[in-house]
Amino acid sequence: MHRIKSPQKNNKYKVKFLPFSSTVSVSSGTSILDAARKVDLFLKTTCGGIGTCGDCVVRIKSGTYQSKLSSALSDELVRQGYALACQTEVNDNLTIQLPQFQELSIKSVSESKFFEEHKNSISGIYEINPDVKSISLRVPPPTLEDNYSDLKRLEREFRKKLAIEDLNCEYSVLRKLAHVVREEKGKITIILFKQRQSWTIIDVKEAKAAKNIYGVACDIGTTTVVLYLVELTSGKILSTASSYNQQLKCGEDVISRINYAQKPGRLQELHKLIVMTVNNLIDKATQSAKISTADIYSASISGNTTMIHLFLNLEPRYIREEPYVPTFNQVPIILSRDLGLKMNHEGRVYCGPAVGSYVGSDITAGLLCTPLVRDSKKISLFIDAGTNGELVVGNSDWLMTCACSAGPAFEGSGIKCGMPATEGAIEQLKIKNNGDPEYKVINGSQPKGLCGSGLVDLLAELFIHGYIDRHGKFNVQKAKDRLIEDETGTAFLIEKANNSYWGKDLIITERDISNLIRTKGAVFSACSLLLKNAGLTFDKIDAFYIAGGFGQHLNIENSIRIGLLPDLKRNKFHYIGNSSLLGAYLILLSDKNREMVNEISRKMTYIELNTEPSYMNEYTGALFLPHTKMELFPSVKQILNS
Amino acid sequence: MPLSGLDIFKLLPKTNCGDCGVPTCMAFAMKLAQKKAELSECPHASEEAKETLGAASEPPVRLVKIGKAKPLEIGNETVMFRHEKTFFHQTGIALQLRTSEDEEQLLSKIKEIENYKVERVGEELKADLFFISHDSEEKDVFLKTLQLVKQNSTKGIILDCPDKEALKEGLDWLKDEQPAIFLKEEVTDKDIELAKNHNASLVLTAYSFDDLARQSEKAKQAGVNDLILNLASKNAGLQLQHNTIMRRSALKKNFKSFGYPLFTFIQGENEFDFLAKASLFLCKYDSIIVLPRFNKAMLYTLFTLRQNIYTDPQKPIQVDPKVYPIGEPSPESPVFVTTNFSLTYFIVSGEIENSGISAHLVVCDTEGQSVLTAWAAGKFVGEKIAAFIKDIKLEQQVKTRKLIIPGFVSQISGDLEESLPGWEVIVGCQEAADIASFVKTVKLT
Amino acid sequence: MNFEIPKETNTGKIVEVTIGATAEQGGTRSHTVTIGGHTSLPFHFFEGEHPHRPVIAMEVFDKVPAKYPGSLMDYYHDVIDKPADMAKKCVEEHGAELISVRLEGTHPEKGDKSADEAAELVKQVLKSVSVPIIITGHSHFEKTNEVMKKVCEAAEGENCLINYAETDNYKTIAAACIAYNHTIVAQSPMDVNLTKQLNILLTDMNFPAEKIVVDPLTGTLGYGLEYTYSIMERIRNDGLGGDKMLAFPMLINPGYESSRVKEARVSREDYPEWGDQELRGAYWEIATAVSLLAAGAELLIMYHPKAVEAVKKNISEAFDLKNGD
Repeated sequence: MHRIKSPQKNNKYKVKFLPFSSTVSVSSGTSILDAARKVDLFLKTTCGGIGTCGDCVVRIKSGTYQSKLSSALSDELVRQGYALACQTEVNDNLTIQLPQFQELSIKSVSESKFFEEHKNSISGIYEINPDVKSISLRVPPPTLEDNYSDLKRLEREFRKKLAIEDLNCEYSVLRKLAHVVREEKGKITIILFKQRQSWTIIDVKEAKAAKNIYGVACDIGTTTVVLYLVELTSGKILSTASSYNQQLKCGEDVISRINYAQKPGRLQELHKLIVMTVNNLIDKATQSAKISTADIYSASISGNTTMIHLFLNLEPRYIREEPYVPTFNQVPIILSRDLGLKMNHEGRVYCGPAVGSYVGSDITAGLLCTPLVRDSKKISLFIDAGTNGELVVGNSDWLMTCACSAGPAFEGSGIKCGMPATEGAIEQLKIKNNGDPEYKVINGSQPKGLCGSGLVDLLAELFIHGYIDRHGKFNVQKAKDRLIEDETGTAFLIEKANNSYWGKDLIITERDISNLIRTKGAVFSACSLLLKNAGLTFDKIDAFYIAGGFGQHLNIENSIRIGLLPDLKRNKFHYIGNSSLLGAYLILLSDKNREMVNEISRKMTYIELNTEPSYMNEYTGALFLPHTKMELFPSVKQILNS
Repeated sequence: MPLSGLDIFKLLPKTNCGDCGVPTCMAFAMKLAQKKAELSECPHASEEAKETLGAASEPPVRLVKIGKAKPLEIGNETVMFRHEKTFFHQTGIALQLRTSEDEEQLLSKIKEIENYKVERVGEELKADLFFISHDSEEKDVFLKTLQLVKQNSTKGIILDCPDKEALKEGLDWLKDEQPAIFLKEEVTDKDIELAKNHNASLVLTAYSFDDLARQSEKAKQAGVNDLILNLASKNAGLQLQHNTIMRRSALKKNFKSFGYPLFTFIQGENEFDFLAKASLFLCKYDSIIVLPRFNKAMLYTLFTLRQNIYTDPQKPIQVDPKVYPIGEPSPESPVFVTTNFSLTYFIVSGEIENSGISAHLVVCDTEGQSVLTAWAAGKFVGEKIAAFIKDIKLEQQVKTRKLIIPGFVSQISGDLEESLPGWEVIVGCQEAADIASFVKTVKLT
Repeated sequence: MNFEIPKETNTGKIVEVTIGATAEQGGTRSHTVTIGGHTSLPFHFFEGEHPHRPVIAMEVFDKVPAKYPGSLMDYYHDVIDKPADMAKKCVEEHGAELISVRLEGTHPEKGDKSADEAAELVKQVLKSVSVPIIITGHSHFEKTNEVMKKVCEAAEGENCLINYAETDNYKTIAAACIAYNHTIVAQSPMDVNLTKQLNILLTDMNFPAEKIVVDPLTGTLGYGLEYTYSIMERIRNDGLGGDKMLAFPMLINPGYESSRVKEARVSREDYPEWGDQELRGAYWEIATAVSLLAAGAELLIMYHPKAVEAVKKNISEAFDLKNGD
């Protein structure tokens, strides 16, 4: 029997996209852009794939290729292996890195001075008393007289050290026990997990094999995921790892993810993607700290309600449907092996409590890092501006919270030259009198784009210097020398192509400005409305804690000038960075914080802004620089008048 | 001054026990502040809380009822402007019957008014009251008219009868009907007696604030608290001022004598003048207006105005979910899709019309939510829109297979196309204001 | 005890805006019309100054509107396609205090008449009547901008009310108004904030405050009236409360909006419960006009002669006998 080989088969090539490990087989001649789309990786293309915008840049790690020439990519970048996906055809097996999705080093976001300086005044307790402990024992060998079982003898020795009544033991420990207690003259180390008054032995090792024990604290954001690897005995953070949430290819915001999960098999897919994201970070962190993943016994996770649902493989659809009720508020302790996390297979995973569908453990945990819940007299406001914005107002007596769909503009998404606060991002910016912007880039390289704090600065400077009007439209007369026409309309030039990392103009368009104004408007109006609901005004607020992915150098003055934050004494504001992650870290360090965060979640009253009739009015009022009611911003008025 | 949520919270036990059915004391305090809950729902409320909250909750304008089966409720208003909260009890519209009219004529008029109803935005609209003016000499004619009304109608009754003997007999006959007595002259002890014995409310008439306040005080002291106030005015402008002053005195100054619903008998030069005045007083604080003649076009206009003014501004207003023709659409004209939040509908339909093209506008049922909110809540998604389009059999009504969705929900285009085989889904602009320029950039037919 | 009237004094005052210009002022109008200037809510004579009455304009067209109702055609059939004559009729027979010239026919999809044609028409209307003129455009910004520039130039010095500018084209329209001395209508879609924002943008470009009239966008009875009503009440309250950027007189369009709705056009035979068609058309306009007058409207562009008569009568009575003496 002879079969003719299909001729097409020879012309199919495999293309692998990093960091997702998505592989697709395509016919020769397919553009990389189309190949990426086949595996649902939608690269940005402002020009529609004709090679002029340079947005779809990729880096080809292996395989031979040839690209059409394009002015949108500098020769230097071409030499480094970069190519435009729309201008490059597949004619070989290729491995391609997608810079739009590449791993990040979000150092500047997670490192917060505030936490270091206020460790002892925050609501959470800064102490090293984790619920996983290791204890060294010497279990005497059995004799004819002392013929207690191995476990009984172990318990007896253990109780000499700690008077614990309720002590349990995992099956996997029993399986090792006989062997381990007979090595090294009974010198062993046991790992215990404590839940309330009950202790469970989750691992046993020969003393000489025992090393330190570790935990991870992880913030699962809609856009980015950040993880600390922590030495549990000292509380020391050994390494930090971060990356985009690999679910990004399934939708940018939580609603899109919930939507995506509605088709059969998709929930499982989203679940796997987020577990994979976390596992990659664990790998990265443990490799850099040179430890074994088997020595990680505890994980503390925080994230918004949808992310935690997906992480736990729970049906998310009821989060978005009226009356917006999630599956859980408090999650039971879960075994790492049930989730497939790269930890010790008896490792315990704790997810923080959610208040409602749109206020999750990123917020409850975040509150631990602020003094908000500690004080019964002062009233404070906490704002977490991520892909969604969440707000909390209150004190130790009461807490009110709400969420608003701010949009991810301050995380750099949805803005043409926006990016997260990572290497290459402009994090601070000023416009000089001659109109030239002066800026600082994270890690000092050539700028790739602007992160949240840079965008806040840019917007404020454009406004204060009169390059845009209060509606965010360019003042053509004033700005004409720096305005260029782009496919998306008129844009202000921040940096010319030859000085930028990607070799293309860094610009901000009127559309970007509208987007930023919408985002700041959503945050500000949600704040005013939340306060109104509580019967308060801004001047009654003693402190503002601002969290989120803006970047380390969020300029409070400029945030006020654009009307993102209210015009109050500047020393009331504190930028606290990624409080969700820090909160997860505090919970990892002490089980008292776990109780406290549960207590916080029970105290919170959730306000649904969607059903609040005056929301639209507050919102349109905030869609102006700094606000339609200038009297709310006296200091900005003064600057404009002078 | 109404108490804020935080003020009330301070009076509550702060235990977050949940026994009131709400998860936290703060949430309960906010419901109390919005008058969506009663303090008695909290089993642990202190005496202090009960006292403080009780004083704050007495209505500044009394609730008065007229009629038996489904009585007209008026009053109990708390704000001067509907945007501050809402107007709670819409203006009752009364039609005058004269006893001097021929019996047959009266009967047919009563039946016509009784049977007149019209639907608008899912609400059945009808007149509320009969205003019976006894302008013949005969007592029996008055009683006969009452009989006719009672036999043929369930509406409430206001009696305008200068003959107090006839009035008394009429009231005896109308026992349990909760009628109102209209007084043209100063209120007398006899009137008060009648009202008290017959469970009737009194419409007091006066020509000055002082006089009206004095009469109201007198009636209240004598034990009649169901009052309705009629301050006669020389023109519409004056009446608006009078009504405003009385409502303001009740709400802002706690002036109890004016803490009652207001009344006007519409008088005018012609049908157009009647309507102008009735419209003005319907907006500005009258709880009862009496029309001297029955005129369907006028009633329909006033019903619509009443529906508009008395709709709760805090609740989204919905339009009927269906296909609306914009301009003069042909079967080839494109189809736009949006939500049934009324403002969204008004703006989108207006902008399509302004663009100069004709189109079919499919308004989906999103329970009155706007585009993004409805999308986020899963009410404006591919599957649901497709189901609705199939439901209304759009494919049989139009030949086009082009569907334009709002730009803000571009995400649903894939699902929608999948659920509607044969249709091309076009992602439109984000803002309605851009529709005019959008329709030029795409080929729609 | 004598009852004491609870008066509320306001810190704000509505800007006085004058439309039209006499020969002395560089125009050709026989008189001007001034609105605004009051210091309390509409008709609240007991607690504030009301130097000017609300006024009623009537409208003529460069192209017969597609949805023009038959009940109106009865009044205007002889002049509907002769705007200058129709203007005369509106002023002389129906008591119009201003004339609005609606240039819908310049819309590219509705006739695409040229800017020159529009300018010529405005000149004709200016010649045929001596009352101040409103020039009403449409939402096709490119064309409206072009037309308004030309019309403003042609009517230089007449201080017409240029109706309207929106956030997207205010710069062009405002510049034309400044150059040829006209007054502007700032239109925003039923939102207090957007209204205020446009006023700020206009005054930020040094547009004189006494030349701004606000159009909050009219939702007619049954079609969004409640929004317009409450937005106007809020604007008026804020303006009187001292917010200068919300203290401009307001214009509404009960005629245009009411003439387009089903209620003004369908017959009694088709909708027996809706009553007489001729009455209904006028009623719809009256109810819209009167309720919005109570909410703060001061310039009303109306269509139906009976509606104009009824509304004018009640305004006159109120102003003739302000405090009842």
